[in-house]
Amino acid sequence: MSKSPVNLDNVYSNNVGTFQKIANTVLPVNYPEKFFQEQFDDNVKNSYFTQLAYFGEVAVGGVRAELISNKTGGVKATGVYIQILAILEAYRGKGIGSQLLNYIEEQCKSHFQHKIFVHVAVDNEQALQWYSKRGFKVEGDVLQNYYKDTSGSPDAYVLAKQT
Amino acid sequence: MSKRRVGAASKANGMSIGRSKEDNNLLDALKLYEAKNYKKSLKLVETTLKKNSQHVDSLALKALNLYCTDQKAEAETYVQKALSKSNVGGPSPIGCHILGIYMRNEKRYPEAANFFQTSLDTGSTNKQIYRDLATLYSQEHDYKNLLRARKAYWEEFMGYRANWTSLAIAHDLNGQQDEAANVLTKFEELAKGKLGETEAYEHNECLMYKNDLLYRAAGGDSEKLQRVLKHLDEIELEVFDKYAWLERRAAVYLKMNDKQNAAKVYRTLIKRNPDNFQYYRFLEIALGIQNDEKLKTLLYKNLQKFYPRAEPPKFIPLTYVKGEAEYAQKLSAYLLPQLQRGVPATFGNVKPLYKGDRERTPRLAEKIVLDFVASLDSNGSPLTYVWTCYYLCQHYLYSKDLTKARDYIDSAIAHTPTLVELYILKARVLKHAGLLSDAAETVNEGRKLDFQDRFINTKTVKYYLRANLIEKAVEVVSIFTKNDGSVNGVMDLHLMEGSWYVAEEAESYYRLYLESKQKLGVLKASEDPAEEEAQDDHATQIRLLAYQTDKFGGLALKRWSAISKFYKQFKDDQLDFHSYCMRKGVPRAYLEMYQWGKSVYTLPIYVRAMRGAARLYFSLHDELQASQEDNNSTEETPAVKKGNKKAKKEAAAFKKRREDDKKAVLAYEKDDDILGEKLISTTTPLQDFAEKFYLNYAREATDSTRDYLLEFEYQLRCGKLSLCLGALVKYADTQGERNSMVGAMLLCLLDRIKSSPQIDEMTKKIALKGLERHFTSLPLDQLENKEFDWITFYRENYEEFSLGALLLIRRSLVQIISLETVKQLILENLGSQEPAVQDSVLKYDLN
Repeated sequence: MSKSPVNLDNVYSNNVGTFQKIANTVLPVNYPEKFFQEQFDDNVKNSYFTQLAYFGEVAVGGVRAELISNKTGGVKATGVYIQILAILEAYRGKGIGSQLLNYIEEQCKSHFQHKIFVHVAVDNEQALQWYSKRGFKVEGDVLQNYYKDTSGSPDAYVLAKQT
Repeated sequence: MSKRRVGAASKANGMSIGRSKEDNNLLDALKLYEAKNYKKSLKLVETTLKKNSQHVDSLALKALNLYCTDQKAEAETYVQKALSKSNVGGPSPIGCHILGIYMRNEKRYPEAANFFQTSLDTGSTNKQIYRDLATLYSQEHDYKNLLRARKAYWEEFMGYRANWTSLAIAHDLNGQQDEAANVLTKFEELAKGKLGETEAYEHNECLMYKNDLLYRAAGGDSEKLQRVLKHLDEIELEVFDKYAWLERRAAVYLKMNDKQNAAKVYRTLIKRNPDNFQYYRFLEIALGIQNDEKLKTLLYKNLQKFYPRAEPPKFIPLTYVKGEAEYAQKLSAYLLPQLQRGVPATFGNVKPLYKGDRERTPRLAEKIVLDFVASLDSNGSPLTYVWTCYYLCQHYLYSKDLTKARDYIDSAIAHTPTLVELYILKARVLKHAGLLSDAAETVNEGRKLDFQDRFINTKTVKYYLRANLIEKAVEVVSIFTKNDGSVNGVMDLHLMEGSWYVAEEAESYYRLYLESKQKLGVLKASEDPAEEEAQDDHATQIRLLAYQTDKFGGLALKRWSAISKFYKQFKDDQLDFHSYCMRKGVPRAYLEMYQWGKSVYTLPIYVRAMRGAARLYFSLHDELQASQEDNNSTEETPAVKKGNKKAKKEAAAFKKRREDDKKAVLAYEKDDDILGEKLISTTTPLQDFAEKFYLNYAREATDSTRDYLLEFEYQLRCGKLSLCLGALVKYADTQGERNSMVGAMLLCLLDRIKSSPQIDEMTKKIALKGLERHFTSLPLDQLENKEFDWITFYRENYEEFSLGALLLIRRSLVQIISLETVKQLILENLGSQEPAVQDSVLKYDLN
């Protein structure tokens, strides 16, 4: 095949269910319905970057990040915060995650941000490795009891990357 | 479209001087009517009628105006008035025309035709009426009169091609193909060299139609067939429909036994469209190799090389290869590339092979695909893996191994949970396992992946309806419908003639009706509680259940009747095409539609609705009969105690409930029987069934398509035993004398002869004579023997009881075998059925 089988596309309010399915299948944390509807809610002013990744015609991964600018952020550090980045297990190792991360980095640039950061559960070896391979470094101390509704470890590292 | 034509008449007649004032007024009123000023027209007519209430034409026009302003009941009374005045000289030609138009609007076509004809006969100079007349005769399939009307119209207006074409079609319908072709030829000669580019398409259709006529007229006559060929050559450049042209050519060659040329043409056709299976079949015939496996293999090997992307050359060899090793090899070569590519429809493609070759294909395919899946890396080629699991699930579902089917679909979903097809398939598996609500929830899970997908939306609705969850179904289906003026999409679905939905909903209501009726029976049979308080509650519960039972049953009938209406509408909708298609110049398409229109009432959904309605109407009939037999069983739902505060409150709540129900199920804008209560409380169920469903069907069904079992059951309840016997004999002709259903039908018939008091002795005797003649081995002399064991007799003479046969005996309330025995036999039979069938029979048929 000359064309890459992987494509990215926006998430729409009609197919956010697909995104939700991927997130809740891959991640040990259980996100509520409300969380996914946020980005289509006119009353929520935050900006989100979300994408679905398709392998062939099948949605297999997705990313959602929030733009935190210093105006609204208050105590939070400014930059782009990756809330969810998930690929179905059978479709890993095909560069899909990297494409999604690239997308975020591009958004970062076009919004004049210099920092991407993400929370990763302390027991998620695979993800820790994956991020550090892509230039992310652990920042600060372990956050105790960060995740509430999860089947994995509740503690998390903060990883960050300057761009 | 028709209204303007009255005007033509008025102009023609309006010239004459010395008309009465009434007539002049009438002409003015007509003009207003044509301008759609119905109210003004009405006023004018009424002033005339005030002075002369006997003016027939004015009465007619008044009726028509009333009809157009939606006062149909009044309109009818004025029509009757106008008709009753016929002794005073009757309506004038114009009056007849007006009445004709009224009748046509009312869809009383034969009457409309009569009035149009009278209008012409009594001297109307409005020749346009002939066209309307022809339209009506077309609708009524009255070919002789059609030809007359078309001819008259054609003689008046020869300048239009449409009139020539319609005349030709009228000849054709009367079996006069040669005359038809001559008409077309004459026009061609007249129009030669005068046709513009805009008419080229119409011309091409008419030329091809003429060729159709020549071909049909030729029969097997080789000289005439030569003429057809010659004609094809003549028109080649002017015909756009190359497929039809080539197909005709090939067909003529085949008929003339010129196989070499036929083969050549079929090869050309394959080159044009290598995916049409039919061309390959015909090529085999033309080459004379349809029974020669070796030569066929060679042929398809070559064709595969020529058309590597075409499906038929790969698939067809699988349908005839005999040797098992070769077959396995070919099957594998067919299956694996498709699975590798992740073709979702792989199973669908080979399903005909599963059906054609019940033992071999499933066995070999299973091995091939299992070996293949074992060799797969689920991460290396994830899509291949997922679609292969999908295939295997369908394979096991087909082989009724539901556990394995579930395993495979579950692992596919675990692997790729974002694929909607997987949820649909899983739901199908669950459905066969009898888990209807789980199935519905599963499709719904798939639906949530993408709300835009109407297909999955529709599927979800269907599964909810199967699980009798009507409210949820309505909620989901309403996402895609237009809901203004209604709380949900039910009305829109009726307007859009969504028969799939209406049919499913009807069946759902019917099941709920059975459930609720059964509960009601249990409740009524239970002891009245001793305390007064509890007694009231008991009574309330019974009232509520009785209401629900009637509501569900009524709605089931309502929905089924709606389907009957849809099909009536399909029939009526043809009316416009009898003139439209002529103007557009599409005789071939028109005739195709015309033939289709002859058997609208035998189309699957209509038949399905009819069968459903039959069940309910038949049981209503049986209940009425039973209650007539023991007169004292006038059981009534306990009346509401009045004056009681609690009772009042209850009555109010009940009323509110009824109103809410009405809103939720409203199907038509104006409806005086929203819940179908009138339908369900009928005292003439058989007659209702006949009028709403059966007569239409019976008229159109042919000997080979007729449902003789239904005919049998219907006539059995009508007490027409010799018609029953007729149906039985036909059924036995096609299904074999030892068929288990035949046995069951015979038992039903014998039972009626023996024990039905409503049927007179003469009828019974005739039926007995008939039985003696057609089924010589029947022990008719044992009919009065109470000890005779009919079950043993059945077992010795017929195939093993099928479920259908047993259920027929049960619902026909046969008395020569005890109900208990039949029930026992059904339970035994259920052991070998799949869970979904078991559940449904236990729940709905055995209670």
